[in-house]
Amino acid sequence: MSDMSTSMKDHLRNLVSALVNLSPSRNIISQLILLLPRDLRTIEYSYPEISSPEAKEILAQLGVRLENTVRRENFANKLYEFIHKLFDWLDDELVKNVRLNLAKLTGLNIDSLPNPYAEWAELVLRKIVHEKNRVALIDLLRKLSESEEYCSERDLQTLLNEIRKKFKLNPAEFEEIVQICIGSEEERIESLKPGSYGYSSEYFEYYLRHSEYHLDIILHEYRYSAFYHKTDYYRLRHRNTLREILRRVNVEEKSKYERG
Amino acid sequence: MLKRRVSTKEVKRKKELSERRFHKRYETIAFTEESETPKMVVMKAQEQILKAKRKGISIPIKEVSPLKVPVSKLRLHLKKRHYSLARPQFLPSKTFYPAKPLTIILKPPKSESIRVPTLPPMMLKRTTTPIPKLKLKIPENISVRPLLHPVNIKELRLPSLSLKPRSLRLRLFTLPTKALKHKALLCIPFSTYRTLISKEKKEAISISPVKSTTIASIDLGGKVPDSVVELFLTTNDERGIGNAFKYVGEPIYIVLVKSPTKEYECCETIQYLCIRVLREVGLPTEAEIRSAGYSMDEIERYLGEKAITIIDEKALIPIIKGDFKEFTKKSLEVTFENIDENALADRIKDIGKGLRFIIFHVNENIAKLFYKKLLKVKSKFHDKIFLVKPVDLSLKYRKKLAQLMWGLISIHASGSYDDILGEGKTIYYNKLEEIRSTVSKGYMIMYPKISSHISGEESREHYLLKHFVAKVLVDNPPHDLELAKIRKEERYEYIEFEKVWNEGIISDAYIKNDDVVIEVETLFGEGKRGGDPIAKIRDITVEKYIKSNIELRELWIIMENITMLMHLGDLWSLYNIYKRLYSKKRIRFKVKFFTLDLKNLRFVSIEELIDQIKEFPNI
Repeated sequence: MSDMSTSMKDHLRNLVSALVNLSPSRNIISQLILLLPRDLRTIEYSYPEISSPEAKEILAQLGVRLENTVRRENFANKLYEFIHKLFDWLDDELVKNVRLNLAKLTGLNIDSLPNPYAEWAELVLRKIVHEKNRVALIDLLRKLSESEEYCSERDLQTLLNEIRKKFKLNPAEFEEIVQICIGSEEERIESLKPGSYGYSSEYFEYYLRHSEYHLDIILHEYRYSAFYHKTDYYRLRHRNTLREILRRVNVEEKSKYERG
Repeated sequence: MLKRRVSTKEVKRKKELSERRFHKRYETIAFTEESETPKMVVMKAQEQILKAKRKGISIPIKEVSPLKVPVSKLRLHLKKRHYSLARPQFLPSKTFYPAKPLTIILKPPKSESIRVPTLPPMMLKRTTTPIPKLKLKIPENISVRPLLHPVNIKELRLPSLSLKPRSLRLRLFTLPTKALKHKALLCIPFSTYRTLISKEKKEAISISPVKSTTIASIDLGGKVPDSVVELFLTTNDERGIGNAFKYVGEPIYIVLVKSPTKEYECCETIQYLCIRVLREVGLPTEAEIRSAGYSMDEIERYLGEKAITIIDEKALIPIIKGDFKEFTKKSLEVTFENIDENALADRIKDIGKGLRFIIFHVNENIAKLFYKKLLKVKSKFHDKIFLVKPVDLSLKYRKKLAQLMWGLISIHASGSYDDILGEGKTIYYNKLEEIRSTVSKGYMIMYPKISSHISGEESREHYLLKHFVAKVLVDNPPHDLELAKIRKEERYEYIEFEKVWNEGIISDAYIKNDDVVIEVETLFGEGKRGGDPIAKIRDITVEKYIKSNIELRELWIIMENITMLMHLGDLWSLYNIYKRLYSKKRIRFKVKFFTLDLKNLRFVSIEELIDQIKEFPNI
């Protein structure tokens, strides 16, 4: 019995390792798949490895279509969805205390169990801090991470306007920042049938808003009540993780500045 | 008309001129070969034209053939537009001179790297140090068995305490007058206290346990009366006079001391307050006043029938078998001693069902004796017996009390509590009716349309209060509202009464551009919720908005002054709870309590009302 339980633990550890290594923060292929669709030239410039015929073959097998615009198909699409699920699951967005429970079950220290979303977000933020409007970017992300869990469109718009005025951004710069932090493209990820939650007449639809690097902070929730009246609000996700990372990145940047 | 002769010289000059103009025009063109001047090019062209003219044939043109390129390759690729902050500059025409050879340098377009550097892959391994496991011990036996035999308490003596506290928490009244200026609770070193004490008259030091500070005590810096009755009535009861006017589900006996002078007479005021309490509970409010000329049987019958019964001392004559005027103090005591307690208890048991007010309005001497007699029998049924005495407030404060109770109106009457408060009530209702009339005449012209309750009944007071709200919002809106910035004639369009939300919630009033919802609360008929009318505000009025998704900035609860004053303590606590919840972001809107100012047509906040109450000498 004890041998069996030990092997089960090993299996779980392997599974978690596999999931962690699947994260775009640790695997270049999943990173490429996550960031698609893009212009071929951009992809070739960013990932020079793919120019070899062997790499092209690998990507083709995974369902990445290399044309003028590089797109994902078939399995790559599923992988893309799975990466999002992985982010949410191990960052306690779907279920609470997942990493804590996994650490207990695998007998690992929680600090040695990586959080794929946190890793990814940190790498993205470290890349972003070298951009031109990094201060505005970081400020917007900080405000989003510090605001309440639910907000209306008006609140979000007010926040964005504040940032635009504060940093005197021109429309193009502002759009760029919004694309990196919030994004504009929405994808329906789930819908609850009438009566499955709350009143029999009401139902819900959830749309995930993809940002440029898939920080995906905003979940757009639609609620259809009786007579198909629609109310919608935004749920801000990964707030605690973002807050923690921003604090860490900020401290490091400050120390660099002081040293430099 | 004769034509002017043109000389050959003139023709030549014209030719030269046109040539010059022609050459000038072509000089601006930039050429790559320096050997070919513009003049030469023009000459060549002229020669060609002349040759052609001489031959008399046109210059042959090659046939136009389509480009042999697949169409798909001709398709333009739309590229990502790169925004540039560099503004285009307009150069003066002189800069084109002298013409320079144009060289185009072709560079590969700059691409943006989207690559995010990755971390090395990892394999999860076991931690070197195993996680400590919690081992549960066998639960310890924590019971303490008695080691000593029980002894009689009388034999025990209290040990002499020898405390040397470094600091003492002192109640306000124990402090010397110098210290009274500061705060209600002071924490001072013991040595300082001793020096202060030595200078002034020594008083008993009472060491009180440290009480947790509440918001009410912090904000107000003093006591908030539970009810308005504390302002003009006193009682010797520890429970407080406020409890004499609350729903308990049992009859309440009030022995009201008759004032020797008429200026503190308040029997009718108490009767009115009892009517209000019964209206809140939703019970009938019939009252009966028994003063004289009734037999014992009649009194007993009426006691059982009416919700409020006021028994004057004259009506008690049949019970004590004699006239009070004929009795001396001692003989009165003897008379009351002789009353059969069981018989009295039985009588009271007979009428002891449901909330009912029985007010004994008697002289001070009799009141105490009667109260004692009632107290003797209290253990046999219940203890809701209060000895109540009016406070000797001066005319200024009696008027102030009436103003606070009746919408801060100005009162000119003088006399007893009953006289002043009675006049206040009449003016208050008349003023409200006047406002209703004004507002209803201006429906959809100046004021918003006010409909009665869509669902359920509506009291007259509730209806009148809605008109007052409309009047204030249009004529004198609070300055912090966006509504105040709109022209008076257009304000009514932004106020909606009986607003029905999609979630089935109905608001009494809604200010559109401010996201403010107004709820009018009279609390009538709401005491059925465990006899606590305030529970309606907490569990329904506010809760329905907390659970909904309505975009709301503030929720205003408007109440009549008398209602707010009767529940002041509870409302103040509730207000502070919501204030704290909002500050901790546990609710998304502010909850504010307001009452009426009919004189200045404005809303008065609960804080302002309490500030005015603090002026009373007995608070």
